[in-house]
Amino acid sequence: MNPRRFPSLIAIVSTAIAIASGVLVLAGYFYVQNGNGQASLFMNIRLTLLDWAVILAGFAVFIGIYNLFQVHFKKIKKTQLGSLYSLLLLISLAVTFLLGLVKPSLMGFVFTTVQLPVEASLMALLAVTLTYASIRLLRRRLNLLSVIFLVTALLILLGTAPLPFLGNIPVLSDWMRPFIAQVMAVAGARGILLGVALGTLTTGLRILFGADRPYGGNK
Amino acid sequence: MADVLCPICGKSNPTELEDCQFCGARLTPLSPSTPSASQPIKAGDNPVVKKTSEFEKVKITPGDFVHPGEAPTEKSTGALESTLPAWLRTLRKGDDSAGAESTPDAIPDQSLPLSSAPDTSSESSDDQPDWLTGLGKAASDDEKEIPDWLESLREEKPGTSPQEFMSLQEPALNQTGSLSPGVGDAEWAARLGSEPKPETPETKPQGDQQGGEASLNWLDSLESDSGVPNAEGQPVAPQDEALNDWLSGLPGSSEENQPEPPREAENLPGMLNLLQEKTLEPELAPLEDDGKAADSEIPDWLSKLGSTPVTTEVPGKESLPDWLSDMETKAGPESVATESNFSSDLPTPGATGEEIPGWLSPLPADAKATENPVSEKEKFDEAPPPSAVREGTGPMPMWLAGIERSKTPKDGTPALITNDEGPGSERNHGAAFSLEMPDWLSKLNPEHASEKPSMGITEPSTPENLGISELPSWVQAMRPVESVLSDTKITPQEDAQVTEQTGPLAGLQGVLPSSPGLGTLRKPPAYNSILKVTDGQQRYTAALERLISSETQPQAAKRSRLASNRLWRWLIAFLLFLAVGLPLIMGIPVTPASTLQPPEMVSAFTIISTLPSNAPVLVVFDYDPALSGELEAAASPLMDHLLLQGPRLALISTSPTGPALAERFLHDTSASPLVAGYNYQPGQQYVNLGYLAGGPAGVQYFANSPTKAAQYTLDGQPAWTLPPLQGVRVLSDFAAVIVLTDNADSGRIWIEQAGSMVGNSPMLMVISAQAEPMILPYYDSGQIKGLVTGLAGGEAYGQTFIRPDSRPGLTERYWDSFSVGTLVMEILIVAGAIWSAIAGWRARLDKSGEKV
Repeated sequence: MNPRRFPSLIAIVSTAIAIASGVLVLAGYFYVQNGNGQASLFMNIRLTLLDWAVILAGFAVFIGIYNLFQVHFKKIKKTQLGSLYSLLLLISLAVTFLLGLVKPSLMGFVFTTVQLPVEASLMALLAVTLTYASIRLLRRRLNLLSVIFLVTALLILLGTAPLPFLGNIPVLSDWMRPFIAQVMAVAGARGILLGVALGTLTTGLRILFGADRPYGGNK
Repeated sequence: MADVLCPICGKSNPTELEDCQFCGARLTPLSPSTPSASQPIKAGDNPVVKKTSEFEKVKITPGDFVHPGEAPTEKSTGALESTLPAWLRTLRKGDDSAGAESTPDAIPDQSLPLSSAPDTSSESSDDQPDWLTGLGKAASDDEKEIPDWLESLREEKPGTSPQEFMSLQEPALNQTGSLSPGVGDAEWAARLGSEPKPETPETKPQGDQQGGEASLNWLDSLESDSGVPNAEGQPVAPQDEALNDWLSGLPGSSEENQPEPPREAENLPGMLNLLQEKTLEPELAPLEDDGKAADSEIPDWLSKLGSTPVTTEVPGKESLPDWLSDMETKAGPESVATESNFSSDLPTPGATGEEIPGWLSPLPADAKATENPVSEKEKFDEAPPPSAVREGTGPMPMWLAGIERSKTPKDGTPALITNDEGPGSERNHGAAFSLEMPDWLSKLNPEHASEKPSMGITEPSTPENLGISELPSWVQAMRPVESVLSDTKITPQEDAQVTEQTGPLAGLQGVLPSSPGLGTLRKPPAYNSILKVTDGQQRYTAALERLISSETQPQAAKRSRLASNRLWRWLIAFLLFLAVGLPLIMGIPVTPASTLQPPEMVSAFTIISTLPSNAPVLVVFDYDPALSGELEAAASPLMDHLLLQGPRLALISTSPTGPALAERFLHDTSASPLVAGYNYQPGQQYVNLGYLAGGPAGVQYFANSPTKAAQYTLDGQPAWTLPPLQGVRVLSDFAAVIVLTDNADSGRIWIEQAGSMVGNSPMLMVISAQAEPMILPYYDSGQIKGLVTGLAGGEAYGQTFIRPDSRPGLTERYWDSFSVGTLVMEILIVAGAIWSAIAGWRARLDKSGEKV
């Protein structure tokens, strides 16, 4: 086989496999079951392919873990800046892995006492950061959009959370906040969703036609 | 005749001698005339081939040529006597019976006038001069060149008087400059007879042309009698004593110049007498002594002419008119032949120098152009056997010979030969070009030679044969301009390379550029390197340079001197902690319960309320630990309400931390004290299917085949055999699908991938407040049946669902903190924004004041 043509051959084969997989899965949506109520051939093929995809995705987690270990191990080996944190990460990874193998019941304890508080705390810091950013916004950028942003945020907060001793603000809670959150924001969200849907459809068609080959090839 | 004149030296020798006693030349011909020669040729008879070896024996010395200014001397042409046609020999013998026997049937009509004058030839048959011997040949060679006007004259005016005849022929004389054929063969015959001048073989066709001018068919028959091709160069002069006196009165009479002027000249017209001293070829000298000319074969018209007394001078003596001088520029084979005849008929300057017009005087000088008789003799020897084409063709000039050789196609294809008897035949041309050419005619010859092949012979059109000069004008006009204007000289090799082989230009050279592309042939244009810039452009250029230079200059980074924010950050954090912590610590409710009941929350409540007991319910925990506080608080009232129905739960998550969060939510009292109070047991009341990998594909796979996508529980047991999942094989077997997610994308995946597979089972969602705008459209579209959004939605659900024991849930605990903390945050944002705006405005004022 000509080595120069080998990559192109791989690209051709991979493209053919991708297109065939997409067409078969798509056909499984239209031919779900036979006349006797059993799953059709295309349905079985679609499920098989989906099963393979789930396995590959699960295996990708292990690949991600291996990549994380390799990157931080290189940092420790080169004694780069922050290598101490890398060392701590690797130690935590090894301990958690061993605990999961040796004593799985302790994994809940580790999760609720380490990971959950840490992530929740980081989210709590977000509240402080956003508050501070909103305070500094008009100093750094005093313009109409900044003012609109701050006013909208205040209206949503006032409409979402009732005031102490006052409760819900009549106009803001039952009209202004739903109007902003469920009309104006949803309008923008619908546009985003429609764009995503069209993009997904176009991407699917391009992959089916072989125009896009994210799995390898020229594009 | 008592003596025989030597054809070479011209001296008299005894008749018994065969060779000249002075020069050794043969006096008598070796081959006498064949019996057939004396017989007239009938119409349709083929001529008899005769040898021309006698001509080879005639040694021509350079002294025999007549140079300009010299008087011609009489030469003996007895050696060629045998080649004379029978009628000439009979004329010499005075036998006019031949002419009498020539019937109109046997002789063409054109010969009738000449044949009608046999008396003139018969009277002087013995004394007939040699110059008449070539007449037959001349007449036979160019018989086809008789102009139409001459033929008409002969036919229409047979009985015209000499005066009238000459007057009629005057235009012809003017046209030719001499005695034109229309003048009558008798006249030029007499003239030729009076000029026994030795002549080179090249000059023999001169007589041919003369005869050709006569263009008589009867001469053709005479030629047949002679049977010798060379006889064409021997103008046989009809020695008719009855020639008119007017010929004898022509100036240039040969009485003074010729030692023995022929007696026939007495009867010749004056014009012919004048011309007797002129062009007599040496080949005719032997014929002169032969004296066997067939006088009887003289055509009638010649006889009539001879018997007609003409006393007027030859108009040809006059100066050449303008129209005749223009003849030089006319290139035509016929005209060439005519001019050749004319030149041969001119009197020599030595004889009639004072009477010859100026334009005629240089013509005889061209006779020296053929001074190499030896070479011509060799050509004569190498001449092919007489054939229909070559017969009668004299030695050709070099340039003409070359053209003839090129006629033979290279590929052996026989050349296309036109009628050789036509006016443009090669035979006649060969005779015409073999004459002594004047200067102007010599210039024309090569041009005619180049045209000659195109007339008679069609050569294969090969690229080699086609030169650039042969390109048609329209093709030359189509040539690219670059090929003309290019300074590069194309070498012949390059020129040969550009010969087109195919297409419509096949065979043409130089039509297209030799090199591909026109750029190579085009002379590179010379542009002025000086840029013309106006003043305005210079100003713009200077401004641009200053701008660029200012950009390239390194500038010190301006450090924004903002006030230290660390204190403000700590202050904000402290206030928020205080606002959130105090309500939790103190436990004093400060915030009234929410009175809002969103419709999506109400729908969710209704669905949960309608779920049957012990119904399988799929709960998806797709949120991260970071937002677990919000989701757990928002989902606690709904899950409390659900567990109150006693359903069988199946827990699954697309997030790696989801299974752990699910276990925590069901069993940790800190997370959800009310839910944890139900004490759901894994494998008995719920099944934790763990982590579902693959994202959308995993959800799709699980929605289509849940038993295959998640076969085992979190602790490794087969999930679908456990009591919670009894009777559940597909997604629609679940009584409800509840998705707890903080991410809009995750909720959208479940809606899109599994929404169509749940069937009539409702899909509910408990989402974070941040995902509301993205998930709410699916509720509006009906893809999800109920929705609980954030802490506020949970509080509203908790206010809707009233526990029997009225235990406060997690939502109520968070509600005061949430209310106070949000209020503090709002105050900070408003106060801080106002302060920041003022501070920024002052800072800008300070900057503007510093600049001012």
